[in-house]
Amino acid sequence: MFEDKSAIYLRVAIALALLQISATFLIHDRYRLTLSGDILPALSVVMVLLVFQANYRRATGAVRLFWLLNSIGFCLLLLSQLFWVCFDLVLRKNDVSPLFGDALFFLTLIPVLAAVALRPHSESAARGLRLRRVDFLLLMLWWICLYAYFVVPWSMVLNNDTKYNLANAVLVLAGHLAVISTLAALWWQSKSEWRRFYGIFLLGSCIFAVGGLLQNVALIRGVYYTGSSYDWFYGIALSTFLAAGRSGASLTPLRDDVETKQGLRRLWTARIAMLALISLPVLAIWGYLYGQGPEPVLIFRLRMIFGAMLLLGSLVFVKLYLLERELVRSVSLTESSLESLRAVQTKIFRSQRMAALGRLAAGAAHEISNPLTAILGYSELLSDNSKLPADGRQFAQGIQQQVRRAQAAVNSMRDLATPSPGKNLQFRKD
Amino acid sequence: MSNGFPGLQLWFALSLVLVGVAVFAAFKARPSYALTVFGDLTQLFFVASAAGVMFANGLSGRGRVRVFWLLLSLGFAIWLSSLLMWAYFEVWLRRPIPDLPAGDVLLYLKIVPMISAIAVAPHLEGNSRPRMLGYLDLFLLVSYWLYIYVFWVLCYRLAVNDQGVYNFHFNVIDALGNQIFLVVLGLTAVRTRGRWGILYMHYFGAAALYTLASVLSNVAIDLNKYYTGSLYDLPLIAALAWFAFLGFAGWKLSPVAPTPPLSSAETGPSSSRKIIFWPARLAMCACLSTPVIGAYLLFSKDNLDKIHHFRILATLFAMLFMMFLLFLKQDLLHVDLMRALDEVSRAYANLGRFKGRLLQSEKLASLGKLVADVAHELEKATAVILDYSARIMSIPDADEGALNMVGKIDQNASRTHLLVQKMLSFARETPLESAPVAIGPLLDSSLKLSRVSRCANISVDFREQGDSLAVTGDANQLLQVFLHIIANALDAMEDSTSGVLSITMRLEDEKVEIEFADTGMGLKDPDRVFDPFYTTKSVGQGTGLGLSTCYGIIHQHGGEILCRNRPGGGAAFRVILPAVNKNAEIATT
Repeated sequence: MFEDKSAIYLRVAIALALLQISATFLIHDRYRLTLSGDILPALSVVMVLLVFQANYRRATGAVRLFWLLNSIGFCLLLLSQLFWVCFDLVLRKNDVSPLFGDALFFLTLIPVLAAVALRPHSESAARGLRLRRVDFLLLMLWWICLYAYFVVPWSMVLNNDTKYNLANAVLVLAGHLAVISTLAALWWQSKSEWRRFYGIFLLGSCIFAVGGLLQNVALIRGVYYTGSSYDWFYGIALSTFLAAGRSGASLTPLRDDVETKQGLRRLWTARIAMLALISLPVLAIWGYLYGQGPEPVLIFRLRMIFGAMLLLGSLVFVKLYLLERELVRSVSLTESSLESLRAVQTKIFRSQRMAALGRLAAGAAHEISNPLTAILGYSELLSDNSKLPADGRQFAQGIQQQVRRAQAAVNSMRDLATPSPGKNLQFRKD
Repeated sequence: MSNGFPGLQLWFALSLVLVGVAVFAAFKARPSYALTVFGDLTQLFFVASAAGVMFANGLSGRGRVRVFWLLLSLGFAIWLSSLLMWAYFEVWLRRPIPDLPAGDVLLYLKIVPMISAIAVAPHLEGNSRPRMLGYLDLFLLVSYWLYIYVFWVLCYRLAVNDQGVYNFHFNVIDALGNQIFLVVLGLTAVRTRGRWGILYMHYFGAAALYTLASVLSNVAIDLNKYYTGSLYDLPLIAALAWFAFLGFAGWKLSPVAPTPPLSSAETGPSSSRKIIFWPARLAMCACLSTPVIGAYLLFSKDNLDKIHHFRILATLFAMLFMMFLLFLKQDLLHVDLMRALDEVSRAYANLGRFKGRLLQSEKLASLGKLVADVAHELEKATAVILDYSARIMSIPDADEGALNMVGKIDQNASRTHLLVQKMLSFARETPLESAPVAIGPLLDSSLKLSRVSRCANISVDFREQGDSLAVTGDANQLLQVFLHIIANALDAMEDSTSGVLSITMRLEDEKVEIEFADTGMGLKDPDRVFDPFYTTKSVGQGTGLGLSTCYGIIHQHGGEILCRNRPGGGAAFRVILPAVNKNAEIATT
C-alpha cells in the first residue's frame, strides 16, 4: 500500500517539476509566474516530506534518527518556501529583507548534513550515540554561527545587498559541498541497496547545489526572478530526493565489514566538534585584528562570537560532565567486576584439591583393581587349601569377602570417574 | 625529627641570630645603606634556604610528595628571583627600586605553584590516571589567574601607562590571591590529620603571617613610612623564616596516611574522585566566564577606548587558549573512557569464563568428594585384609605354599592400602606442611596414580637415582603438581601412536631439577601456560587453572617451574626445587 502511495507522490513531484518548466515558457505575467515559482516547489517539498515521514515512522535506531533529521531539514525548506509565498504573493512586498527566508534555506542543510554524518547504514552508528549527540549539536550550532558571522550582519546591521548576496552564496555553497562530500564518501564505502540509496541522494544533492549556485549567481548579476529557468533545478532536485526516499524506504543498518573501534570514531567526532569550537575565537581574533569592514559589523560579530562561545561552552561543559560520569561509572563497574572475579577465583581455588582427586579417580581405580584381583585369586586358593587349619581357611574367606567389598567400591569409583560420554569412555573397555 | 635535615642546627642558630639582629635593627637603627643591605640579604637568605630545602625534599621524595615539594620550591625560586631583582638595584647599584612590572609579575605568580602544590594532595596515596586530568584542570585555573592579571592589572601598563591605578590594582589582586591561598590552605589543614596535618598547619600559619605582612608593608608604603629593614619588615622576615622551617619539618615525610590500611583503601578512590571533580567544575566556570566578560565589555560601552581593545583581545586569546586546553582534556577523557570500557568488557568476558569454569571445577570437586568416600570404604577393607593375612601367617605349622600365598596377599594389600591412604591424605584439606620429601618415590607414586599404565601407546622412561634426592615441602601438594604435569603430557600424546614420557632428575647447585619431557604436539604458547584460565583443551575438559595452581605451589616452595617446546617436538616442563641435605631425615611418602 505504501509503495503505491509513494509512487503517486513521485509522479506528482515529477509533474510539478514539469509544470514549473513549462510555466517558464507559457506564463508571461510576472505575478502568475512568481505564483507558480513559489507554490509549485512548496508542493514538491510537501511530497518529499510525506515520504520521509513515512520512512521515519517505519525505521528504528540510527536510521530513524536519520529520517527525523532529514524531515526537520525539509520542514525548514518548506518554511523558507512559505516565507517567500507570504511575502511575494500575500503581502506583495518587494523591499523586504530576504534574510529570514535565506537563513531558513541555509538551515535546511544543517540537519541534512548531521543526518548524513550519522552514517545510518552502519550498525555501529546507533551505539554510543548518547555522547555523540552533543557533538552533533555542537557542529550544527557551529554552522549556524558561521552564517551569523559572515552573512547576517550585512542584512541586520547594515543593509548591503551585494555583500549579503555574495556571503550568502558562498556559505550556502559551502554547506552544499559539505553534504555532497560526506554523501560521496558514504556512497564510496557502502554496498548494494545502501549504495544505490546514497547514490540517488547524492545525485539529488548535486542538482540541488548546482541549482542553488546558479540561482545565487543570477541573483548577484541581477538577472534572477522567481519562476525563471534557474528554478528548474529546484523541482528536479526535489523529485530526485523523493526517489531517494522511495529507494531508502525499507533499509536497515548493515553489520560493519571492518570492525572499527567504536571509541575511536567517537573520539574523532568529538575532536572535530571541539576544533569547530576553537575555530570561533580564532575567527574572532582574526576579524578583530585584520578584519576590514564597518565598525558596527565588527562589533556585531564579536558579540555574536561571545554569545556563541557561552552557549557552545556550556554544551562542552555538559559533555565533559557526561564523559567524566561515564568514566567513573565504568571504572566502578570494572572494580566491582574485579571483585566478583576475585570471589569466583577463590571459590575455584578452594575446590581445586577435590577436583584434582576427582580427576585422578579413574587412574587410581585401575591401579587398585589389579592387586585386588591378585588377592582374590590367592585367597581363593588359600580357602581351598586343605593343609591349612580351619580358622586359617575362615580368615581366607574373610579376605575374599573384603576383596569383593573393595572391588564393589572400586567399580563405583570407576563409574564416578566416567560419568558422561566423552573422552573417558575409551578407558572403560579395559 | 629523629633523622632531621643535615645542618639543621646550624641553620637554626643562624636564623635566630638574623631575626635577633633584625628586631634590634628595626627598633634602634636608622635607615641607611647598611640596613638596606642587611634587610635584603636576610630576606634573600630565608627565601633561598626555603627553596633549597624544598628542592632537596623533592629530590629525596617520590610520587606526589616529590611533585609537592618541587612545586613549592619552584614558587620560592620565583620569589627569590624577584627579590634578587630588587636587591640588584638596592644593594649593587645603590639606587631606589625602579618600577619593574617583571618583578611584580613574578611576585604575583609565585602563588600559583604554591596553591598547585596543595592541590597535588601529597598526603594521599592514589593511582596516577586521574592525576593527569587534575593537572590539566589546574593548568586551566593557572591560565585563568594569569588572564585576570593581564586583564585587570597589566592593561594599565601595556595599554595605557597609569602607575597609580596599576599599583592599586596590583595590590588588590595580590591580596586576593593571598586570601584564596589562605582559604585553600586552611581547608586542607583542617581536613588533614597526622603529620601532614601539622605540616599544613605550619604552612597555613606562615602564609597567614605573610599575608598580614604584605598588607602591613603596603599600608606603610602608602603612608611613606616604609624603608627596607624597618619595623614593617619584621613580620615578613618571620613569615619567611617560618616558610623555610616548613621545608625542614617536611624532610622525609612519606605519603602513607596514619589511618589503618583498610580504611585508607576505602577512602582512596572517593578522595581521588574529589581531586578530579572539584577543580574541574571551577575550571569550567572559569572558561565560561571569559565570553561573559567579553560580552560585558562589548555591551557596556559603544565606543571602545584603548583599555577596552586591550581587554577584548586578552579575553579572546584567553578564550582560545582555554578552549585548546579543554580540547586536550576532552581527548584525555575520551582515551581514558575507551580504555575503561575496554577493561570493563574484558573483565566481564573473564567473569563469564570464570563462572563457567567454576561450574566445571565444582562438578569435579563433588566427584572428588564421592571418590574420597569410596576411598574410605577401600581403606577399611584393605585394613581388614591385612589383619586377616597377619592372623593366617601367625598360625603355627602352616605349610610353605600357604605362607607364600599369604605373603603375596599381604604384599598386594599393603600396596593398595598405601595408595588409598595417599589418596585420602591428598583429599584432606591440610595446611602446607614442610618436611623433607624424597622425590623419587613421590614421582613413582604419581606415575602409579596417573592413568599412564592404561595408555598402551605411551611408554615412560623414568630412572630413579640411587641416592635419593629430597626437597623440603608438602608431599601432597608436590604430588598434585606432578600428577598434573604428567596428566598434561599424557593428554598431549594421546593421539600419537607411540609416545615417550621421560622424567629425569638431577641435583645442581643445591637444587633439584626434575624434567618431564614428552613427545606430544608441544605447547601452543609457552609464555602463557601458567596464566590462570589459559587452556587449549576443549570446553569442559580442563579448567585452565591446573598449571597456574602448580605454579603457585612451586613458588610457595621457593622453587621455579618452567616450560619450553623441545627442538625435536613435544613439550618439556622443568620443576626446580631447593634440595635438602642428604643426611637429613627423609620422610617416607
